[in-house]
Amino acid sequence: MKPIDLRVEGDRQGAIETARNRIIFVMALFSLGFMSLVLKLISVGVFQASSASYYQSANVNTSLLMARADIVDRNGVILATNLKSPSLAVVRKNLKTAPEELAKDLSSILPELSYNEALEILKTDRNHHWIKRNLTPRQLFEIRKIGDPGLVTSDAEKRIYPHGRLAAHVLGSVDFDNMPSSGIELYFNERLANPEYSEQPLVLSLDLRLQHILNQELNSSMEKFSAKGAAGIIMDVSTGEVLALTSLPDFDPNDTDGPQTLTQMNKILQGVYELGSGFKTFTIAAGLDFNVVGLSDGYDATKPVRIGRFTIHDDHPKGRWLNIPEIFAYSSNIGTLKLAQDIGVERQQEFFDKLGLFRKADIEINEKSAPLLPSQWGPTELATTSYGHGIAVTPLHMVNGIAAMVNGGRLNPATLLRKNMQSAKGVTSISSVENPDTGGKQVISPKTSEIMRNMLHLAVEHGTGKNAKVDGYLIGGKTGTADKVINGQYSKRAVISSFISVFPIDQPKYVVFAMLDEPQGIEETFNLRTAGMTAAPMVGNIIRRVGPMMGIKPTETEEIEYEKMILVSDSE
Amino acid sequence: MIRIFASFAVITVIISTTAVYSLKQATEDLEQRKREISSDILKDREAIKVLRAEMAYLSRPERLERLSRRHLVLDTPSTDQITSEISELTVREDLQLANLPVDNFQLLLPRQKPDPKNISRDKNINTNSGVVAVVSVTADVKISNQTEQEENQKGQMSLYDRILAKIGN
Repeated sequence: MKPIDLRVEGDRQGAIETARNRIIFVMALFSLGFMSLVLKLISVGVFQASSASYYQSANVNTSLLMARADIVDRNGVILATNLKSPSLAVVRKNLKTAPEELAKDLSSILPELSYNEALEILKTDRNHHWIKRNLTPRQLFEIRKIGDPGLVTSDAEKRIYPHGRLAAHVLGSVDFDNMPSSGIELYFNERLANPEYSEQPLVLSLDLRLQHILNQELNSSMEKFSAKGAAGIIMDVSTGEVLALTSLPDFDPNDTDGPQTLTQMNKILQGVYELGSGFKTFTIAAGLDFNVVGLSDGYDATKPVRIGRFTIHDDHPKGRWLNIPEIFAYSSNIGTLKLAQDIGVERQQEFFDKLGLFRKADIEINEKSAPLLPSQWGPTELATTSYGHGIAVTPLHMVNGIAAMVNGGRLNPATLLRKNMQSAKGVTSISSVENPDTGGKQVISPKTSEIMRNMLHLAVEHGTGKNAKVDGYLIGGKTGTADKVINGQYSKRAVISSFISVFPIDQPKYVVFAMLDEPQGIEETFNLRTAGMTAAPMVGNIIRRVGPMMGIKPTETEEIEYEKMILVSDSE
Repeated sequence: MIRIFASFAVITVIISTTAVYSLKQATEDLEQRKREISSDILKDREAIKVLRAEMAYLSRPERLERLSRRHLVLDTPSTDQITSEISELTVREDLQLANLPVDNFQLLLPRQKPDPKNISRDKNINTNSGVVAVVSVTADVKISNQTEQEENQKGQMSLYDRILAKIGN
């Protein structure tokens, strides 16, 4: 078809021209609009391509959120960590395979699941049923290979303690649902479960190497003396940081069945014992600090003393007048109680209270016992508590007190957190609340502390702690053998033998405490089970290994400060 | 006129659609890549966590001790193997010590070996060793010593100089 060429002339021509012009004008407007859009598109596409704001919508989180933060020791060794561990469940209505066939497959993949058990689970009435927790990656792969929609795996997390039993009592444990049941896990639960700190580990004051040494020595001594239990602690004298803490028998926190009640008890924090002669340190320090006696004063210890219905003997009777260093070194009950009588009930109570012996010890663990104090404080109690009977405290009380005796007289609360750590975010240790300037409370004068150091040294060199001697290191220490209270009566057969020591005694760094619960005498110790024969050599072994590891230089001077005050030498 | 305009408009539309499409595609590709990288990072972090736990498990002190007893001839050090003064280790008079800056651990340096080239060139060996014979342990002197030596003997550094240079940093 040929287009018809219309030609209009006259008035009509003018009208058509107007219309055309109008159309062009409108088109120009539209094209201008489109041009601006195109320009904008080009500018967006070419010039602003890498602008960050375009990609913010797709910001994917790359931080690994775990239900609980890690716990590490002071050197960064992992003590507890959370790992993904899938669980397997069955949803019955989605099952596509025959239960018999599936049960056969499952029992071959999961070794602890028998065919009959699997079949029973698959045929239960409940719609959703757990089959197994904590699948290994291989088991997970095999199960996914079966590919039945009724088998559901879910991403659970499991708390792993790579070192097992090693620091079980400090760490505590968690149950299936990552809920803490004891220890640091319980005390710092809020901090550990806080997603904000999920990637920042909690740094403890423990040193795993020392923990291992302590554990090993306690274990071997416990076996050697057929003891029921053992416990030990190593503490930094000047900061109160606990470097190692062990209580035997222990438990494996990886066992989610939960610890047995017997093994869960932490002897250091929960056990209250009449620790015996170690208390003489406090009594003598009180006597010197209150200026009741001087160093060269002494007491007559020839005859046993009768107080109330008790007659008090010395375990190592010398049968003569003893001066203060001798009373301490020979661990004379008679001398100590006579000194306590001069100090008096009020001042003795005041002193014990200052040392924190009347309340629960300060440490970041909830499971700790209050001391057992005598119900009334008469002359009998004054005498017996002076040498550590009739008053039962936890070993931690004792260690804390001894640390204060030797570090210049400041009582630092024990802590399980590494001090001066930035990564301890979100936690407050007890000590930082009570003493913001970390100074600690002054309980005895620095001068008395100096005397007590020498006195403890003397007790190892000439007294009951001889077996703790270590070549090259100067050690101070005090033995403690106490009869155990069984059914309200002192048992003659069961004792708690403990040794508390400080080394190096010339510049105290560490307090080492170790105790054995009901050790039995063996041939090597002439059938004796006193602390000097059982606990003291154990502590000696610990120091022998800990010293070189912590870079403590052996001392050359062999000078013993109050040696001349020993009137009659033991080595007749 | 209309034809020109129409073709121009069509071309513009095609160009702009292509531009916008490719832009969108590029963005999506980038986002996809980002998601992949993020999930890779997460996977790696998880793997690192597992590996760290495994490392802690494998480096249990009890296991290390057992392995060391079986494979190494090492035992617990006794106190007579440690001295409080490093000078007790030797009867040498020209002691050369250096401190590692990290832990203040003193290091007894080996004596400088006589350099055979120096002997042939310069017969006076003593002057060469005499320069470094008296070395103070303090850091300031060590650094000044080091810079001095660097100036003097650049190019032919002895073992001693190399150790000093290493621990000085």
